[in-house]
Amino acid sequence: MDELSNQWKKARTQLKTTTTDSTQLVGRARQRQRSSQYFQLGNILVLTITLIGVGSFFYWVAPVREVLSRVGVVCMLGGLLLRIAIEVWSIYKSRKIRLGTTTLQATQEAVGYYSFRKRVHGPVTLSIVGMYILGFYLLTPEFSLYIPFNWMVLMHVSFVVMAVFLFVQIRKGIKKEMKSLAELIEIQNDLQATPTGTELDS
Amino acid sequence: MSSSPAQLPPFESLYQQYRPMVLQVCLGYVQGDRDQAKDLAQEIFINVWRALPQFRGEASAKTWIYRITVNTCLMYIRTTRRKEKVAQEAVHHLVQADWVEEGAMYQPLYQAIGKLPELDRLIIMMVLDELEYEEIARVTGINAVSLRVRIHRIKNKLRQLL
Repeated sequence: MDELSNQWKKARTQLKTTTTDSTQLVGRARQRQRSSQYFQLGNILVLTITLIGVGSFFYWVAPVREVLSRVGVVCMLGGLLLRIAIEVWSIYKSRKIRLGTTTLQATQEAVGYYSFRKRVHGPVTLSIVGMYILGFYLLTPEFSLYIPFNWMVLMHVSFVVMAVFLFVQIRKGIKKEMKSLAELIEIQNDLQATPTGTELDS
Repeated sequence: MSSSPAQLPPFESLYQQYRPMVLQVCLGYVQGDRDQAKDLAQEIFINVWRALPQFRGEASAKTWIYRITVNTCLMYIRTTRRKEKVAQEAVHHLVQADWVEEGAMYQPLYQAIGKLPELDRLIIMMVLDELEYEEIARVTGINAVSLRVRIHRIKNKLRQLL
């Protein structure tokens, strides 16, 4: 093993590094931090604009009159609002992962984050999607009074197509996150495992 | 023991002092792939820079940098955005490498380390860097007794791979 250790040290001396200015790296770090924040806030912004857009549509463009339709609007907007709240909480949770701590602690924090995402992807996402679909169908009786049959059919078809597309996209994202969760749990278990046997390092 | 963040050397000095160490760990972690190692090392120092205000002096600078290195390596391949980034920046690295590895004689060592399970890779590199078991325990959070047995097994695996 000493031989390997010497080889390792020699290999390090062969890694000749040029004197790259660290301020350049700090600049990149700042830029990365900004783009990461924009990316996270971007999702929230898109959802918020959608919420405002849908809300404005039902308030100014097509104010619904029937109670059933109003319940539908509340369902749709409520689902979106819940989704925004989850995104905000998700960002907060992801920032709680500390990399300057032990591997075990950092892994536990990452597992905590992905477990939260798993809970979100399960019953919570289903409820949000359910609320949105329910809201849409509660609106259709009143809509059908003002919109021609052909347009109603087109509206339903496009809604289903959109729903299938979103379902496939969301499922892909969920699968990736769940794979990460499974791997991190494996690492966590590995870190906590007590080796059996009597062998000791010489 | 608690202390102010001011006890940590400035980022510039951490970067110059620990860059070869971090880069070498990255090389072992990614089986000697220079482009990925450089990308990963950059990611690690970005995380070091970000985590600087949280440094409390409970561990030495080297232990702390090792913690961030190990944690970033483990999280790195799980972030899809990073994977995309690596692909996008691969060409850029080919033309703008800011470090040079002379000779490929150590490539088999990096590749052998890279064949170990992820966590074992990182542990054995700390052993090769002659970190005390207690220090490795402080980086990983594995208790020192378990670590001794584990390291013994990793060494055997590495010998077989070489």
